Amino acid sequence: MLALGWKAWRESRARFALSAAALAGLCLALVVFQAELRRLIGATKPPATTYVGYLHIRLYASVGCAVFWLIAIVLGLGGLARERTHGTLGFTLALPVPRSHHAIARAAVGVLELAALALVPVVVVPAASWLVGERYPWSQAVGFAALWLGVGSVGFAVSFAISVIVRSDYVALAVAVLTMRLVPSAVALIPGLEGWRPLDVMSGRGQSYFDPATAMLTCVPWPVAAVALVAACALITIAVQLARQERFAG
Amino acid sequence: MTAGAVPPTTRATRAAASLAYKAWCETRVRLAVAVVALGAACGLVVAQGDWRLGHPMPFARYVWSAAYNDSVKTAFIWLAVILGTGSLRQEHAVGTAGFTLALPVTRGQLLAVRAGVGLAEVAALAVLAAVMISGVSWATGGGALIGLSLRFVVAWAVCGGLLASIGLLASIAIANEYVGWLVTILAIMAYQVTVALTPLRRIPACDLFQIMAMPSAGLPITALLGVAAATAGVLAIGHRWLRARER
Repeated sequence: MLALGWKAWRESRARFALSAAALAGLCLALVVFQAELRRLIGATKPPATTYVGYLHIRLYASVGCAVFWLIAIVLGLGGLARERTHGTLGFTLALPVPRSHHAIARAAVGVLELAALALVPVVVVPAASWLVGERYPWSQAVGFAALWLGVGSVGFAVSFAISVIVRSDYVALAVAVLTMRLVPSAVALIPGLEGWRPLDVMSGRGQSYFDPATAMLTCVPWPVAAVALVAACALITIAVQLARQERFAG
Repeated sequence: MTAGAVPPTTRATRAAASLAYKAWCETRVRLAVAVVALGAACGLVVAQGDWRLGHPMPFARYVWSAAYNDSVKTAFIWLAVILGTGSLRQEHAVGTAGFTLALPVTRGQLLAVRAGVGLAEVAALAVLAAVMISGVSWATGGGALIGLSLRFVVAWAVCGGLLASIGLLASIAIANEYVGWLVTILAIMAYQVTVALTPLRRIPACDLFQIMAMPSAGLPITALLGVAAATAGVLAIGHRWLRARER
């Protein structure tokens, strides 16, 4: 299993490194250029006028959140269907392990990478804030990281399932990004589910665990993150079963 | 010329048509997915509209803000990049580059035809978005908005062409499809942040996304010519890279 995990890491490490650099760069840019960006927002009322409110608007409720969601989708892609196209499937299937182990190892490595990426703002934002003479609470950063990891895992799992079903690289990419863009909007049309768009859950917007007056989480929403992780595990289990039943002839 | 010999121009046309067919076969599933998704996005935008609930915003204004300046635009940008990507570099990975390079055409011709097909598909997608939005708008009593839609078709086709050519350039430089797409999307986001942070924000013609949203006021001809020139520049860089790999 460790060897399969190493293989999955080798296949996704370029995506991971690029994503980590992009997230870290984004967090740093938002903190370093905060004076200019806050002036551009032109807010007159709190919480948008506060530093914490600004970071929520720019990082946790818009661009940062959207970038993380996109990264989760791209990290979920790959796998045996892709290997068939690239002509390496025979070597992989010749390894003396069940097919499900390949999928499980890839999913585990992907979720670990996602967890490491969710921790990037936890490290960068409070540290960089301190360097520019501002303060951002670690507890808030940890709370948002838990939400990002939970909801991001669901995005990862959907993308993972798509990569098991769709063989072509580009088609899988197109299906995954469009599913993630359109399905949440469609779900929001269903009465009672309006506030459950992934980006709303990740940013806390309209949720009971978020205080819009201070733009801060009222508590670390572990239950929400846990439910999302369970949903992701269920989706990954279905995808693993699909991968197990796949016929790779031809 | 000997009797029965095919003139060089005819031969070149036939070669281009064959290459275009090859590029079409490689991208048609992506295009089909894009057509379905963009159609769904346009439908969702109209279905979600506050204007249905007696919102004071006029319908044309709502369509501009929700479709042409928000969710449909984002979906279009992602799709333009996906439709543009794919080059010899990826064919190396799947083992078909040898067959493609064995064809009696230059790499420049391969690139030109691939870019042409990508740009045509992006233009078709821009037309589809306009037809869908006008159609749904007309069907729901909001008016057909034909003038607005036509201006957006031109602007989106030209700007989408630049995004597709950047995607093509990334796929020439980077072998991994997912990394190439991610690099392109992150580069586009970085460009957006750069424009917002620097004095460039005072020049609307420098902001590609501003240009895509502008036609509500009138078609920005000069800015679009600049975007078309940038597309040609990106493709020229791609051609140079391919030529460099040939040596």
